[in-house]
Amino acid sequence: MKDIFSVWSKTRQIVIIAITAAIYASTLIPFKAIQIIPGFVELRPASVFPILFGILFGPAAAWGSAIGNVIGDAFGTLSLASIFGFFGNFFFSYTAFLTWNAFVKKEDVVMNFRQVSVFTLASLLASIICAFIIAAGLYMLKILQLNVVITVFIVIIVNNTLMGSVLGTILMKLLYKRLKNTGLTYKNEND
Amino acid sequence: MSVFFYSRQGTFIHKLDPRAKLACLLLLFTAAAAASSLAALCLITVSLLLMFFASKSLRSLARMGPLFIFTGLMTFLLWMLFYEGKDVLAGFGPIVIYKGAATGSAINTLRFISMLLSGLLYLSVASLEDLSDAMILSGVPYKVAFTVSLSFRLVLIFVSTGYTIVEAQKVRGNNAEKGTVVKRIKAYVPLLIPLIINGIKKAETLTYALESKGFSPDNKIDIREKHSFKIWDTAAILLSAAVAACAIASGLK
Repeated sequence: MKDIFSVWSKTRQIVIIAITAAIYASTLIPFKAIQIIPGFVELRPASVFPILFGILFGPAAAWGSAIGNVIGDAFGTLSLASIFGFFGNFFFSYTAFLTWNAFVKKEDVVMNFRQVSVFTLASLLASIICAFIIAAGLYMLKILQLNVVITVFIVIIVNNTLMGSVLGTILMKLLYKRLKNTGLTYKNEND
Repeated sequence: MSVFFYSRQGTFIHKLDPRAKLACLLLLFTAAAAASSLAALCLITVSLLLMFFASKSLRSLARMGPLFIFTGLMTFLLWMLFYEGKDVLAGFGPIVIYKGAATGSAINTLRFISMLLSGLLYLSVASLEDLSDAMILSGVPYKVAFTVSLSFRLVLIFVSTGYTIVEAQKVRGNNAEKGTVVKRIKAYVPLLIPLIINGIKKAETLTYALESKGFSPDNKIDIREKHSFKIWDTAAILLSAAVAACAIASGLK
């Protein structure tokens, strides 16, 4: 837990927070969501970033995802629910990081079957935590009825898990080595 | 066109102290969340619309109007369908409408819409500098305020890069808006990779740029002399606090 706050003491980590936030927020506009049921169920490609960056950059990406989500709301949908969005996205990214680190420790990242399974598990657990916080917020603020909140809870889990696991594993496989060489990943920072 | 809503105007709302703007936003959020009568919520919504007029921010309202109307209609519809009362008003197969559903739905819809309007009003009258200064003056560490401010500035660069990538990939025949869900998800890979690489390159150069300019997370800056709290700022906060107090009182009854 100490690492959550220690990232704020390094310039490089602060830059990673800002870059994560900016990439996450900026993909909300040009990268349009895939509409499954228009207005209700959509798949947002941006959902991959909290998971992917969380695994790659650790707690800095968790802060970045939280801030990025609030910036995304600043495109016109800022409300009291943004507070729940902040915490939801923070734990979305941080849970993915914790799950990945619990199973994939010092081994090389090659995205074999085991690592893909861990990545998928990390996406699922992170999505459940995120969905719970956001759904609880919507219910507490009386924005939606309980039945609808439960539906939203399920939709968020499906959306984030699908985007995180499918898009995330592909991007991880393609980008990991390159990102590792930059020395910006969490493992590099802590070696 | 900017993706954000702020426009420089000389209205008294724009001239408020950054802390006053932020405090009023939080109080208006509180008022919207606490109000539980239709009359109180109508009053809050109308007041917010008048503030859009007074702050010459009707353009923001016009930009977001269709989305807010759609959101409002969906919220109202969902509440109508799932509202559970004591007396049944009408039944259409599995759908049962209870007495009081319309009022209850209107209250909850207006609550959400007034929250969105409060947020949009703040975004229309507060610049990025206002937000950063309000955070610093309210005791948020400089490094946090700086990071938030830097993120906002980087968004503009990445949005522009994002559009360029999307257009470039469309020219190459990669259209993420067609095909099955799995195909479309895969089509996003060539769109996202350049954006991530671009971001990482920026992270590398930005760290050196900041450090070479003397940035350190331990830096502290004093901007107290830049802003002074005037009588209008106090009046605006007191007025917002009164609205919030009335809303809370209406909720207690």
